[in-house]
Amino acid sequence: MSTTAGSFQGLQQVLCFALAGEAYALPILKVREIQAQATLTRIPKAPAYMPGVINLRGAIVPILELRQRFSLGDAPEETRPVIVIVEVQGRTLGIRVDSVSDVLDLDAAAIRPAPELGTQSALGREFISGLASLPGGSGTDTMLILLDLDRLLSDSELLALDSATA
Amino acid sequence: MSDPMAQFRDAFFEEATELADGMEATLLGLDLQAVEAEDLHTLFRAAHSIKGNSATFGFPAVAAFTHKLESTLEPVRQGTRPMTTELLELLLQGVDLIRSHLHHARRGEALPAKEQAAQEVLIANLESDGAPVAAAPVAASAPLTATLTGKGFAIRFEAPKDAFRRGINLERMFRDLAKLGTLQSWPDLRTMPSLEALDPEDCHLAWDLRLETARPQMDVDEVFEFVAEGENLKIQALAPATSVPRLGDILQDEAGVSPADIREALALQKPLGEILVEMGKVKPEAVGKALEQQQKKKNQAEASTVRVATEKIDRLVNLVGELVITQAMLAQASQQIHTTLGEEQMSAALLQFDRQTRELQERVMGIRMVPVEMVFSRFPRMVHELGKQLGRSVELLMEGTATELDKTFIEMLVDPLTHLVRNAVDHGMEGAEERLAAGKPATGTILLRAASRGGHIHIEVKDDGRGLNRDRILQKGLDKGLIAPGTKPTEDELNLLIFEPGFSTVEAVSDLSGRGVGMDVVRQNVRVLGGRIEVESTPGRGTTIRLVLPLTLAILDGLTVRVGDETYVFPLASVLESFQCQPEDVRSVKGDREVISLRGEFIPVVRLHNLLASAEGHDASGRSLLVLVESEGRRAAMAVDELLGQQQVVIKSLETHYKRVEGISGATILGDGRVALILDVSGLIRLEAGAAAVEA
Repeated sequence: MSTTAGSFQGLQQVLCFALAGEAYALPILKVREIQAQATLTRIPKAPAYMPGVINLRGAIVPILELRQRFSLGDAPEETRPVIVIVEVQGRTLGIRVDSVSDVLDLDAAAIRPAPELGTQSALGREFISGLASLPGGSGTDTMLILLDLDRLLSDSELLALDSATA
Repeated sequence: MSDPMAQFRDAFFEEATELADGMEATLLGLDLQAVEAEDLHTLFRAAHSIKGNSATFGFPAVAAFTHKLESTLEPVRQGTRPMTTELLELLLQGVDLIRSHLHHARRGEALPAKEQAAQEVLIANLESDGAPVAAAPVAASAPLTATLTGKGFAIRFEAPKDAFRRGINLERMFRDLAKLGTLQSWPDLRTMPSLEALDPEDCHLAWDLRLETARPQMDVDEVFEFVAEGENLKIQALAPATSVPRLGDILQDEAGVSPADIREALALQKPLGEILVEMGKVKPEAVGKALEQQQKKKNQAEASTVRVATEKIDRLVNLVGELVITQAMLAQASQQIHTTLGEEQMSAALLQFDRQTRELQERVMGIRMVPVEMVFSRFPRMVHELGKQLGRSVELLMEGTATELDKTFIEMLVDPLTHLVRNAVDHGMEGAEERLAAGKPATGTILLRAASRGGHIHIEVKDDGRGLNRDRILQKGLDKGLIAPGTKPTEDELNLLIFEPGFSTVEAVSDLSGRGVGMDVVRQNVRVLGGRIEVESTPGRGTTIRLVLPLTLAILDGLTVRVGDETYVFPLASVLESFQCQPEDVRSVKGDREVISLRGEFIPVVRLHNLLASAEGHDASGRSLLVLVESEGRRAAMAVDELLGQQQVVIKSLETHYKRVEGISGATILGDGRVALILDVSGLIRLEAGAAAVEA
């Protein structure tokens, strides 16, 4: 019901997904498509959060295991993870999440900066571009964590290796 | 929308460049003692074709120049003028100028002044019949372009200061000019002093003129005969109508902006790089690098077409026709698949389909293949120039020039081969006396050879010079820390050291070679192409450097194997054999290193499970399946779980979206849609050696 054309100023469309019971969101403009499960080919000596690659219609695309990245443990048996294909800094990348829910229009004013989470937190505030609360059906608000993809990636393998080979 | 002539013009440039290349090759092949009449005819014909075509396509400057070459060749062809070494050199310079003409014409530019001057000296030399004319600074003599220019001239004329006193009738000059064609003029009054300082008897006038005429420049020169004093008159042929007009020209035509104002504005304009440097946003070196890159891209964009033989295309057309028939057969067979006949038809059609797709793939790849002659053809000239420069007599022989290579390879091979040939002439060859003393003919020989051998292309640069000095290489290697003291490297290892970055044993660094930069490039490019280098050298007898390259970059014959849960692909070219062995055949060395004795040779065993860290699904039973591989002269036996088969795979890059992985050269997609990694054998051996060093 909230998805009126999000073209007017201050509205941002985001894709919501779930990960270990939390609701996360990504700017929709970065998302290329959503894939059901694909067979993963493991890359030798790759870190657990970026274990391998898949075949995306002929392109070899790496997979980012968001659960591993955020140290959230393995997914329970019954989840059927999906892969969100995103394009960041000219590269295509698949992000494996527990499930994808819907596309929302977020009012820029409703997004608040993330509070300091402390250094022990695996998901430091550097990956979060903000928090938004959504009015839930039964009066309780749901919190939505907005991810900063560019920073998430610059921290992981891809860039580290770019500089190593340069 | 686009210029309909554009595509023909591209063809013209390609053809003209080829003709120029042909002229060069013929010139270099001339035997001055016994000049073949046919060779002279070939030269003449080439010059004539370039002339004719360039006139047709609206490049009068090129036509005019080749006309001069042609008329020089005419008496030679008739036998009234002897072919001499001097004339040969002049004609070679002429070929260079044709190339440079074509290069600039393609970009719609005029020939730079420097080359213009060189051209005039050359023409004077060609006409002087032997006795060379000194390269005197060329006065404002009528440039050759005039004879054939079609469109007109841009003239900048500053009247002499004493024009009034000498009673020169400027008005009349303009009338005369206007008689020659359509004249536009823009007076330039900026040199006019203020009224107080003005001497009314001095003339401070200047004009920018644009004369559209079909008349030769000679007629224009005549008008200015009495007022031209060198610097004050500049006459330039207008750019041919075919090139895109510059903004300034349009503004001049449409908005009445004077040429002087445009010049002033242009002088104010600064390159983007310079502005950024001034703003302190970027370092000058970075700008230089970026410019270089831009130039490279430009060159690449120009060379991105391939000329394909019609015959190749015809075969493709036939093949596609056959495929359509096969498809119909398959469709028919599928309707009666339940009958025995249908089944038979189906399998027959599938067999045919398999054969045809494979052939189609080969033929399509074949379109990218061009003869290696494309690279080789530049070397006769280079060796000729180098020999002259170094005072050495060197002969270049070429074999297997028809061998076909992927176009990408051809481009990547230019630099490495240039370095190798240059090195062979500069370092490899001795002087004539030294050669005679060693009982060798005074003229050195360099052999460039290309051949296709068992899935690889071999390209050799072979000289009969002094050979590599391995003692010097060893010393240098120790000095540079490339060899650990105390170790005893093999001959092969020493030979390959010359390809290390910064390695050069020559004390005197010439502008040709000896900086130790070039050989590094050779190794770099060959590695990028997935090839390797082999060196053979006998002191006093010569050196052979062999580049071994895969046939093509895009497709690979592979051996698919299973390790744990994953499927990997070995490049078939590096697989020697595969065999099963019993646990007792494998012996351990130093605790955890394993070797296997194979026909008297000890070969290290690499456990791929450990190396690739994919331990899952590995059956720990004692018997091992080993694949014997070889790369860069080193062998290893790789332990795998299962051999799956042999198939052609299409190579996909891992780096596009991911990164380079050590020990993996790329990826491919299997029949079931899964990704399989292609193993990089030499990388794996290095990886294993590295792991051993860490553990030791």
